[in-house]
Amino acid sequence: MTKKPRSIISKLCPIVFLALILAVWEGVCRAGLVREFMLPSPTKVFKALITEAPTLLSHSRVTLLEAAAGLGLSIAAALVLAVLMDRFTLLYEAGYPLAVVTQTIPTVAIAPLLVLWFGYGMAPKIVLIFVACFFPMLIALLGGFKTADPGVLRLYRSMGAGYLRVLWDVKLPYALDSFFSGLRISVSYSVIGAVISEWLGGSGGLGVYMTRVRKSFAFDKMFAVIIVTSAVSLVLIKLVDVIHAAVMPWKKYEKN
Amino acid sequence: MEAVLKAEGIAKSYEGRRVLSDINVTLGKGETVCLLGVSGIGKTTLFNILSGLEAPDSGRVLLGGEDVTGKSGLVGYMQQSDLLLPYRTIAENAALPLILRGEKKRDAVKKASAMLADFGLEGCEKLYPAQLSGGMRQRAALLRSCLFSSTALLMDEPFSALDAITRAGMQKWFKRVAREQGLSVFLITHDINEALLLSDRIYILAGSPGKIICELPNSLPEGENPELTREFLESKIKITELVAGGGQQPNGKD
Ligand SMILES: Nc1ncnc2c1ncn2[C@@H]1O[C@H](COP(=O)(O)OP(=O)(O)OP(=O)(O)O)[C@@H](O)[C@H]1O
Ligand SMILES: [Mg+2]
Repeated sequence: MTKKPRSIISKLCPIVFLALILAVWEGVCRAGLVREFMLPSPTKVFKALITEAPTLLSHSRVTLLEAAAGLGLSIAAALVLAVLMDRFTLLYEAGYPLAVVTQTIPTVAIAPLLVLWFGYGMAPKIVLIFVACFFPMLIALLGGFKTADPGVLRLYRSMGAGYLRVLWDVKLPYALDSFFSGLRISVSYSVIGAVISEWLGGSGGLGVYMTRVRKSFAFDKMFAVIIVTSAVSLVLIKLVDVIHAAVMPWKKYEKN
Repeated sequence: MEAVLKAEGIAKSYEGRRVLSDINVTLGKGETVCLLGVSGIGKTTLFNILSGLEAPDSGRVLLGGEDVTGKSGLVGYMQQSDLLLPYRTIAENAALPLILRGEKKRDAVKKASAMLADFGLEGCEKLYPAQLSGGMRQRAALLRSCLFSSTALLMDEPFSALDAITRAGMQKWFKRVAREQGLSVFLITHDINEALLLSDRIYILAGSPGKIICELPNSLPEGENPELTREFLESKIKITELVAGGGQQPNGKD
């Protein structure tokens, strides 16, 4: 009973805080404390958001398509490699340290290289997103396989089950939690990766639009596209959470 | 009595340390036999060998007269915790052995659901393990073991995770089900009361390395509360001495 009002307050808090920041920002702009083209006021940004909505939407579609392709490929590849590494210890021992090291390579740094290799089409973008998402997914899956209850694994062995059966029945379900936390990260990486790769060239996408409006000093549109980019990420992360809860209906009964 | 499961001259070492030596045990058809011993003596190790999960250093395991040493997947083995899959419903969990045997999932689940009532789990088929009490989960695990194998069943401390009251209820229930279903059960416990209440025979594992230091027939008077009789207390005192006395050899079997 006492929990409800409190949770409403805790949800309201960030909204009020955000409104406060926006109000101050608007005030600063109206008072002429900063030059207009350097920092557009929130109302200007909002107007840009409305008038540019159709353009933003079509660019978002391109970005989302790239992100989905890169992410989808990386999930498929991570799944295959994770299973192989789980099955063959040697491959795990050889591959795991490498996977960790590769994760530290900044994607921004390799983006120009990819353009040189693959040109200005979809290919370098999908490759970049793939590189950004593959290792978080691989590491999430490998970690997830390790969470499988050793007792359950022994039980399956005592019942004479083979590897594929154990993989399907035990390792994959136990890896779900870890998979989804990896996916949460990868989803936002995929959007960021798409935008960064679009900076380097191309005919469509939020990153291409971003470069265009930056060059014409249309800072209100610049802010609008930044907002759209993070909104896309947020919606996707939320979507991952919804799917996570939907595919694990037993979760809600655990822990009490 | 016809022997279902038999172990002959089992020995096992871990990293050069002898854990079991010269173990000979038999499980007869339809009987419940207890293996009693202090913690760390090697009870689970012996069951892992009997179930084929581990190979003994020497000796052999016979199932219905056939040598099955080191072969897993033949006897039912209920391990120390219930090990239900948290993401499967109770009926699906219980049906697992049938599915592994190649039956269609739907038929297997239907078959398992039909048996839930016998195991005190009526109406639980669609529930997840997390929605059940500890005792109910234990019963589901037992049903799964029974569906795996009706010839011989190994149970490693099946009731030790339960509170005393639930455990007492489960023991009474188990005794009835074991009789009704004609189960041949080999059961590990370190609870002397449980051994006396459930079993037809008791093996005591003691010493270092672990040996079967004696085998006791167990026949308590039938009745509501056998644990309140004098025979029960006398047996209990004798067994306590045997289990604790570990090293020294008692004067033969009695
Ligand atoms: N895989 C293993 N490797 C090394 N030592 C082991 C292994 N498994 C068991 N042991 C050792 O063998 C001994 C017997 O272990 P076991 O699990 O059989 O005991 P237990 O009688 O079942 O005990 P509890 O009642 O506590 O379950 C212990 O000292 C343990 O440390
Ligand atoms: Mg044990």
